[in-house]
Amino acid sequence: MSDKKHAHLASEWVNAYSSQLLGFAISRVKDEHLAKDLVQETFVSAWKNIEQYNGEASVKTWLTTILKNKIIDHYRKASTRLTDSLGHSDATQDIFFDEADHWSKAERPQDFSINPNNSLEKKEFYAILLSCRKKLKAIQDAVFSLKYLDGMDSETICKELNISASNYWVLIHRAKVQLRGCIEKKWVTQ
Amino acid sequence: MKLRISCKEAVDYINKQEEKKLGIWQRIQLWNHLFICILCKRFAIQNKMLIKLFRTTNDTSTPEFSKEEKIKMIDVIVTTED
Repeated sequence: MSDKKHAHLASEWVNAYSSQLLGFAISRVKDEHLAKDLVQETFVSAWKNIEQYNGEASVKTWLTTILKNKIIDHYRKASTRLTDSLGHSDATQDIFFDEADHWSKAERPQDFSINPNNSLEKKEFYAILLSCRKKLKAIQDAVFSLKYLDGMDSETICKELNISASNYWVLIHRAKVQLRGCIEKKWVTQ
Repeated sequence: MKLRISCKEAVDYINKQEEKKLGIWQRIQLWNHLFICILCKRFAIQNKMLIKLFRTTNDTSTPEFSKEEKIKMIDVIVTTED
């Protein structure tokens, strides 16, 4: 291929797929700058390995697969720093339950609901969800994304992130309690 | 074996139940707990709702690449040679 044709293909890719890939990345890593870097890296990897593209899947699917792997690599880096933080109990987490492991007075789940058929409510909910997700630790959010956005089961997630099953359940537990509490507070007081 | 579990355990069971990872006795413990504990019952209901919304709500304010960023990106791609 001549250089000119090369450039043509590259711009075709960027124009056709960059915004979809960015949307995919940003819902999983939250940070805009990082998401853009991951998309850029995806294109570069794809470019280097273009002969591996067999034409069976669509280009979009192929690029998305590469991006997925980049995101998991990124998560894995975050997970290597995790094991130390899980060992001892986390002071910010212990506020949710008392000594008897029942809900602490201040954190008792309050009643709230969101009507999924109301698009305005859904939009508001999403904004709150985003800001609450930002308060999660990177690794908690990683597990959340893989579990609920990518539909992975716990075994696969543990393998991908190199964490033990018990660490996984602690992560999910803390992320859920924290996220629910945050959403409740913002939803009720808005 | 004790029938009663704590709220902390109940939340853990609710999460494991999602992946069908509870044995029959644990399911009985959880069922019993949710029957008597309105707070955990609430947690379980809201948990289901939040997961559903988490999965189905799309970000409407996704940032875009600017024209300059796209040009730069194309440039980086074509100048990468293996």
